[in-house]
Amino acid sequence: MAATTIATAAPATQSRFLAWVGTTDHKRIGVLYLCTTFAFFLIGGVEALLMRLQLAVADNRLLGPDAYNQIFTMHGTTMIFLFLMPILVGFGNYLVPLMIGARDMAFPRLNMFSYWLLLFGGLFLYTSFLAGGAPDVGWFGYAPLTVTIFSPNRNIDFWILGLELLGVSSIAGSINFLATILGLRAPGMSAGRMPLFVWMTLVTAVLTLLAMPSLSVAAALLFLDRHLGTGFYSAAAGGDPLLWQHLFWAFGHPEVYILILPAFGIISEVVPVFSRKPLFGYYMVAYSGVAIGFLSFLVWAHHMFAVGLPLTAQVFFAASSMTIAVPTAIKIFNWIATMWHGTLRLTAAMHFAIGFIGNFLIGGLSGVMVAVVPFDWQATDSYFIVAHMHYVMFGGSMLAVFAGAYYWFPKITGRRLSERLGIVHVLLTFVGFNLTFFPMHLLGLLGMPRRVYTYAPDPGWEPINFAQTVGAVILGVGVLVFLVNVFRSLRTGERAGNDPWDAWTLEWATTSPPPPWNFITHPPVRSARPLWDLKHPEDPDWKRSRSDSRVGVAHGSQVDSGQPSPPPGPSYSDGSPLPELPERTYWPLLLAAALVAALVGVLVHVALVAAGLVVAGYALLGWLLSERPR
Amino acid sequence: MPRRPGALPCWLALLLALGGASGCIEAPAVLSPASRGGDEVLQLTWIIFAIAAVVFLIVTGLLFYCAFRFHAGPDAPTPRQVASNVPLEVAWTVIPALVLVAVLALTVRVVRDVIGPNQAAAATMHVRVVGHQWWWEFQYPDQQVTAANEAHVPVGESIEFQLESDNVIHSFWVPRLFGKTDVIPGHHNRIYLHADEAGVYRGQCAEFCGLQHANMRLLVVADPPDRFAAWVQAQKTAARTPIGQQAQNGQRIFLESTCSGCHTIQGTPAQGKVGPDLTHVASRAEIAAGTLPFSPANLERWLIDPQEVKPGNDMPDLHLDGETITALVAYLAQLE
Amino acid sequence: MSASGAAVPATQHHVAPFGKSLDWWGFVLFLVSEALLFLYLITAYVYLRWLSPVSPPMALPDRELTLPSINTAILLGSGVVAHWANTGLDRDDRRRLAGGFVATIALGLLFLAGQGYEYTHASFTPQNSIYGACFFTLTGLHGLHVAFGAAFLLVLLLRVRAGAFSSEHRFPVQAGTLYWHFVDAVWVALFVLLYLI
Repeated sequence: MAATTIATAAPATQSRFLAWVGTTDHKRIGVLYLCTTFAFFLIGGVEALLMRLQLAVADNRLLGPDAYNQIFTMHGTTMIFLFLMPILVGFGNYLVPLMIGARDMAFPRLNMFSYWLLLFGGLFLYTSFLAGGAPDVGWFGYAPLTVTIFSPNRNIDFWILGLELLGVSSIAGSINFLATILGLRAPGMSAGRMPLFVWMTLVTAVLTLLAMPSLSVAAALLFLDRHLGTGFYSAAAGGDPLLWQHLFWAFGHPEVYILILPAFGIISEVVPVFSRKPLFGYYMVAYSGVAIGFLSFLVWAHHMFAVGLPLTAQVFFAASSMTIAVPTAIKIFNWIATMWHGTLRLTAAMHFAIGFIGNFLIGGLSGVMVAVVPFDWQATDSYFIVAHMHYVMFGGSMLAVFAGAYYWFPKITGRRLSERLGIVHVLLTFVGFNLTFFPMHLLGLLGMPRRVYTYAPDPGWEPINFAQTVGAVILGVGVLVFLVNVFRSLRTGERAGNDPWDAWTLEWATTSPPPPWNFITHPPVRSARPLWDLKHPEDPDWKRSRSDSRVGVAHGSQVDSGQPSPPPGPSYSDGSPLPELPERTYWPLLLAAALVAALVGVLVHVALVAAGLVVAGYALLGWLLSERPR
Repeated sequence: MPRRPGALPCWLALLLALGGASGCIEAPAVLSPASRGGDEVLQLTWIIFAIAAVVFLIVTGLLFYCAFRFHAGPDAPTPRQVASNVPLEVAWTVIPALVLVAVLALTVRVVRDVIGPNQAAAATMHVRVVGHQWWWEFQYPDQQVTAANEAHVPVGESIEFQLESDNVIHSFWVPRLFGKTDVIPGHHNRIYLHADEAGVYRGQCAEFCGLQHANMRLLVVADPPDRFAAWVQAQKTAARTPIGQQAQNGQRIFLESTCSGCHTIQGTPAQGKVGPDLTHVASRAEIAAGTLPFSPANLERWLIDPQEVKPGNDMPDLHLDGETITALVAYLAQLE
Repeated sequence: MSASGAAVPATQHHVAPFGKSLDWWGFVLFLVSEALLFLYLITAYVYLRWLSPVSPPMALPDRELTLPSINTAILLGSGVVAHWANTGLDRDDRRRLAGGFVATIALGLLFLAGQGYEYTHASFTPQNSIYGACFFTLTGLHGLHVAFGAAFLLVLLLRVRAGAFSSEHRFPVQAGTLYWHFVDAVWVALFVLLYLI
């Protein structure tokens, strides 16, 4: 790699804490996301264990219905909104600019703003436990259970307002990813040369942008029903409880693809590297991701097969739901074909990736089963569906998250995770996960509905539930092993160089961890595997493929940023200046805090709302009128 | 190190679960329908399950094969960088698509068969189901019967259940008879159940409806025609006059205190509509929507503190003393 | 370094798709998210009015069209004025820009006053009519956007007066004008859906 040495830059002696609080560096923001969301994962996991302990035996009295209902609601809300969705954003934040050869995201301050809203939104949601009770209506809270008569406490308001905050966070993030991927790719990186993880993040960003507002609207109407006496969800007032379901699932179904597409991207990065072969069928994997994104807007009512929709509608949604299985199947075959006649290195990351394929497959197959409407009439709202969703979200996305963790930990921290502990983690996860969730298919067929805090002993559900609880504990031990691995490796892990896995995408062309400016130089991009081309000049990808191999501007016109030249400071050893570093700024924090204060005011006192909005206006102006961190 | 894609542990888990469960249960309700529509759906279920199993075996077989066959050490040579094969990619796009088209065709056929337009005409009887928080009310307008949590129907006939709610969404699910249909305020969903065999069929609310969603069970009892007629006759008659001092005391207490504000006992001034109709409570197999089997001991447990049995339900702890409870239990236990 | 090509210095490239700057893209995407808010809200109204099986169907009040039509003309007119003001900046005509923005803001406020009058003289409330609930929510959200837009233009106006912006550096003015046109377009949809059909 670049042999240029860097004249020593005197490190800033300001507070490290403030450096993190005011950062706009996508890598720091990525790390903040990864750590914060993993903490929420642990909380959600504790909630899950509590649920499993309550369900371990019939007629259990460990948790009463009120406690259980709050816990299962918060488990779902936490895992989806505070963990899975944002951890994939965290990976995207860290990796996308590196993978496309950029120095940062398109809007670094907006990036930090998204993070603050995530943190504050999560804390806000959890404050509900201390303020009279957490939301207790399930993570998709069907009206009219959520309207005031049936839920008079403020817990639902915490839920609504928390979701609105998180919605803004997500939408801002999606705008950032779209602008970044569209506009900041290195010269030569046409769409057909982007890493698959970037492709999937792009589609996910489109889905987030288009789907999230539906949840914002649904929640806002619920708030109006609860506090302004409107009747959007009340049949007696001329509204319709089903309106909530349509609006929610119009968001909710694209949401589940938001949760899986980046995971597909991670797997598409890991499998080729550890098979030492390029991804098979790059274009089909990319386009099938786009197809899934498009189709995801056409399937929402398959969550509503039992509500009494007209039969034509039910058949339509069955058809669209089955259609969406095709692009998913394509990917699975492409991954296997990548492994075929490859040279497999069975690292922990690769184990998780292969495990992803097998376990996600089960979730996908049960998904096709529930697209079969008459079967769904039995399976929906039963433990069969609980099995399905956990197979795709845990057996799918979560395993991909672990694969990504083992794969990119060296890049982020400069050290490798222990492979031995990794294999222990793999085994505990595969056994624990399947023991917990596979029997749920059977439980559903036995007639156990979901969201029940207890069950009677006669139908024979108890042994299965007990086995599942054992599985959950095993799974939990696996997570602990992972945490031990992370903490030990941070301090004494084997040092990783730039490219510990002999990989091919641009993030491996810089140091581990990368410098604040990401790259001093990077290899030219003439294919989807710039580092392969560099390391194998006798057999570069661009010679094998028929596509345009010119190094040059990929598309559009190169717009001069029109910025003044960087101030004198640290420089290359030949005297040329380093690119500017992002500066610190606290406007995003102030704006986020002001918005949260305004929302708290909604629950507490209108004066706080006004104050919050005023400060928010000030922060917005300050942000827009101040210098950019470029 | 040989890797597992989750297949081996998952089969182990299934065996374990099945082994553990097999001693205690009948066949899974969804897989043992006792109704006409249910049989067709079951066939379809087995077909899609078979397809899923075949796909699963093929794919995990390939994964295992790759993991064992192509696993190599760090000195292994770099493999040929093959990245595309158009005929193969077309094949694995087209074949799944064709399979799914077939599945869709089957689905449409079964849907049309089991929920045809003739359903309403074929129904011989109507039962109006009202979902409450957290119990089921059954009204038989033609027979002038009101029951709670336990609905009797004649075997071999198609019965229309009209699903109503004036509160939150519930879901009416009796797995051995058919799939579920939601009970939504403002909507008038119907479900048609046709029991082929006499028997008792368990059901449970399947849409989260609040604190006691878990204890909102129901029973559908399919009787041969004569037994059904007898049941109707018995349910139509007013409550039995209490026999014995205790029971008479119990009736007096019931009518004079808050009980009659919430519950109905036909033939008495008690006409409350908040809670279940108790006219024939002793004829039912369970109380509190399947929370407890019916017995004097359980009645007593309920009356001592309903909140201890079913926390959050609408019946408050009335702090009744022992004598009152004994009298009430004696009365209610006679209401067959 | 290999012979297959020189290493590429990693500067922050501002490759702009379709010739528009990243800022422009970011702002347009923001408008897309706002448009979707309205779209989903409109979908809720459409569902409740035409698609929901709950009976009785949505009862419509008598809808008087005079004031709303005048208001619509005012708002659309303000859009024309905003466009006129914006194109003034092409020629660095700050007076046209400032004057145009003053007029736009004034017309916008006039529109809001008209809305306020309509609100206080409506024969229905958000509580007693489901049409009312939809009407007030949709027009209310729109009105908030008009108010925000007016504030946005006001800040731009003050900056124009202070000498900012030119035909070279004009993105914020473009953004403000775009936002105002967006608000106009949404109103057209609302006018048709809530008043005309």
